[in-house]
Amino acid sequence: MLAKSDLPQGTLDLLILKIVALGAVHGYAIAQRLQQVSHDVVQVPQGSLYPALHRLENRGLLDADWRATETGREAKFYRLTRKGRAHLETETASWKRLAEAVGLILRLTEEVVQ
Amino acid sequence: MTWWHRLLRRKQLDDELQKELSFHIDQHTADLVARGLVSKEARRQAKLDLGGPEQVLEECRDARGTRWLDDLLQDVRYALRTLRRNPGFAAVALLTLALGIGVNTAVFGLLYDTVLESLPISRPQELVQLMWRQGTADGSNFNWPDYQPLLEPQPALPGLFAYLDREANLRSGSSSERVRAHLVSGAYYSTLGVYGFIGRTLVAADDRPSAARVAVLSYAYWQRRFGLDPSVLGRTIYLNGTPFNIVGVTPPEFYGLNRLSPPDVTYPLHAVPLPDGSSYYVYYFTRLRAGVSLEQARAIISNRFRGLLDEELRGYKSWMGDVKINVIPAATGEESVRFQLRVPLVVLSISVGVVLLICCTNMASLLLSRAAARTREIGVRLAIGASRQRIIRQHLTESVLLGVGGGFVGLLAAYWVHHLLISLLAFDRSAAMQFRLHTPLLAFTAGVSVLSGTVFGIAPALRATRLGLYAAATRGELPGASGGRLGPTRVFLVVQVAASVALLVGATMFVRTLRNLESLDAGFNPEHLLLMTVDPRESRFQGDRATFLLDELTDRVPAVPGVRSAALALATLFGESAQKNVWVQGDTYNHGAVAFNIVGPGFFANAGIPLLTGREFSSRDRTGAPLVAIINQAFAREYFPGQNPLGRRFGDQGADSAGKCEIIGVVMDARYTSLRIAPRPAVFQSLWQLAESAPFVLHVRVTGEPGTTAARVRREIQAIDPQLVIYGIQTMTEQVNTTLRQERMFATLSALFGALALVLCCVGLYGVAAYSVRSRTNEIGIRMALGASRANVVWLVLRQTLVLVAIGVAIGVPVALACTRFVKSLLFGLAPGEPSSVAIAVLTLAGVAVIAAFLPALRATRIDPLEALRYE
Repeated sequence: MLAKSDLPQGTLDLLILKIVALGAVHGYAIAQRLQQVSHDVVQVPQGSLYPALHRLENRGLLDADWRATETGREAKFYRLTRKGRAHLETETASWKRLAEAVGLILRLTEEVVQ
Repeated sequence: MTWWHRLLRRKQLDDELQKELSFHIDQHTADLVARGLVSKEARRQAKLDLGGPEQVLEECRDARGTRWLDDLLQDVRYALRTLRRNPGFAAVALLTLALGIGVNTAVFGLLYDTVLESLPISRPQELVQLMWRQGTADGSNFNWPDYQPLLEPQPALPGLFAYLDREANLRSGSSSERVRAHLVSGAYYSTLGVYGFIGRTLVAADDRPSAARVAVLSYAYWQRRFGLDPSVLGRTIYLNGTPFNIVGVTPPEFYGLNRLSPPDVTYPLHAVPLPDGSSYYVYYFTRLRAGVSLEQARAIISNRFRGLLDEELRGYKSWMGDVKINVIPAATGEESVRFQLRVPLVVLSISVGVVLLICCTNMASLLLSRAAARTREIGVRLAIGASRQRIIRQHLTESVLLGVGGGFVGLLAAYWVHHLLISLLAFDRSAAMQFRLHTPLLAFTAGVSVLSGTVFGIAPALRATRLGLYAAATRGELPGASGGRLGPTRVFLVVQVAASVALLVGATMFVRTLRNLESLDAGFNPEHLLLMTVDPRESRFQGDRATFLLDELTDRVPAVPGVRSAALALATLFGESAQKNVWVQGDTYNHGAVAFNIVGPGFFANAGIPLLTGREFSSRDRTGAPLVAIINQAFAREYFPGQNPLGRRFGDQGADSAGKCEIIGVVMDARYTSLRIAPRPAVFQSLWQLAESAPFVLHVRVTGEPGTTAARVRREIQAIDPQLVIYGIQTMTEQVNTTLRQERMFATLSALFGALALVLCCVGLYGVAAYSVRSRTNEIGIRMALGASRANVVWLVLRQTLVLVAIGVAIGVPVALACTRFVKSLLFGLAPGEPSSVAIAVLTLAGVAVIAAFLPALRATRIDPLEALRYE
């Protein structure tokens, strides 16, 4: 099995926001979703999920309330706030720009080597 | 949710967090069970995936951002608990800090009130004051009417106004009293923007010689005299006998332009014509219109003044020619207040700063020795994982808490010190100088409290955590650390001793200055000399009839029981003396100003001033008789060196008048205005010859108690005419003392601060000596076992203290000498840095140090060698 790489700094927040953007969801579901979408390539320690959620909530990017799940238990559901959505958009854009720039540099060096 | 919400609802948030995490684990377990794991193993796996529950909880709590506050509250609780366990330490610490912070707060309050706070008017920063400068001298007082043309309306400076401050006799109905009156020009109230609290304030139309005479009361006087009765409007009051109509009362917060002498009543400058030949000193102010800079205003005023010199003041050009007019900001009011208080405030600020430094170093050494006692506890805490930073923060919390506590008690101390300062500075009782708790003062106190808490706490906190784990493993003692351990404490003590020496040198010099002045021979006998001012302007003895009153008084007052003799003068022999220009006959040169007074028969004998040659005035030297004068030795020395002055003549109205007045006597020199000023040339003229309807001063030599005699004399005078106003009753000793109030203030306060410094030094030195004896028990035991005598042991302990004191003195004395050079002008009869004053200060401190170290030294001699050796 391939060694899983750590999540780059600051991307956990972005991933969480992205997942929550799809609809109100509780912490465990976020953890599940993170694992699925990242295809087990990156490792998201569950322990750092909750501090991140609380931090985002305190920054006003997420909102939370207690609701019943399908099984009838109460769980804390997170939603994206307006501020969170704006934040997600700018972060996504800047992440894409960064990714493109890094890709460009990598292609450039490949050409030079060839 | 705001951070303080998160802080207050901590419990609920913790519960929710718990619930959220257990939901996660339950869900995860259920999923794993669904995938085929047995439930026990599934739960284990779920918990493992989430990570240590306590760690997650902690991290989530950190994410709330209220961690620092949680910690702070915890530290505060811990600090309070520690202090409660040691109430003696807490009390000493609070008292020390309260004194240090209190004196600083009080001095700041004084500084703020007098030089920092703006006047309670709108846009005070626009107000400017005119100053004159001639050569190196400058001032804010302008001669009136010489400079009166400056007031003429002009488009560039429409708001220019003048005012002057004087005492007046105010009669309303049948009762009279002395009040403080401000005479103001027309634009005064309109420029300041002050309107009537009731009625109106004065306007330009009121300030014309032909206008109806009107006056405005201050709120404080309205309250004191008329009980806030609104029907006072339209009532007639008599000011020095002239009727005025009250037209309004100023608002409560308005105190004029000089906080130290707020007016009771204001009336127009032109309401009462100035007697011929006399003049006032007035202050000029104006407001800068929007867009006019200070430089522009200077240029405008200077041009205007130059123009006046060319036109209206041509006659004065010879001596006014080199006068320059300046304009300075006056948002805080009259310049003379700042001038008057500059030196006291600088000296006071430095002294209280040093006192605070001493308090802080004292606190630091107290905390250090306590930290030494707590080394083990701190070591254990470090060992079980507390970060050093965390422990330093906790120590600082404790010291800052002490600082803040000291600040609160210090505010009470400040209230008391403020009253002491005000009474020592002898401000007018009506001065607007109450102790007020305003925001700047509270901010200052809070700042000083927190700052001193941090300053004295930082070194002990660093020190306490440095030994670290080692201390936990051992008994909290470093081997052979008996000296080194106290390193920083010694540094603090040396600083404290140095600062105390500096304060003590200052105190000695100020106390000796006061002593020198008090024991100085003023040239007259101030004992049993009673002064009272009699104002005849409302009585039947007006104008030409004034001499009748003089005759009545010279006949009747000496006959009053308890009176030995009595004499009259226009001004008090010692006090604010008048000046006069003299031209001596046969000498074309204008000799300039000499001190001047007008006195009655027997004045010099009554005052105890010996007559050297010639005769005193008699009642025959009255109006119509040839003008005669008596001069003092200094006058004779300067104008008639080596000659007999009797029969020589001089005048006071230019060279042409030089033959006007004949000298008939010479008296011994005396000091007339200030004990500091050596006798100057003085001339005295006869009261009977120059009698006018003005207040004069009765000098009464009494045999017994001045108070009862004063009452009898007063009754006797009122029997002559009940309309004679009598005020200013005091003894000559009191009068002399008021001129020494600044010296007395410096002597009292510096002695007080010096005593405080000594006590704190004593505490500090005692603490260190006691600690050193305790930690050297073992060593002392061995020495004694090897045959050291008691004297050896005492010396061992004393030497240590004396070395500290010696280093402190070596630093403190040069500092003190450097500082005393700045207060040279405040000293009298001794040079700054005079060796005997320094010696007194050093010996006092050394004596106190020996006493402080002697008790621990004595305890050291009682150490039982066997006991001490077993102690190891």
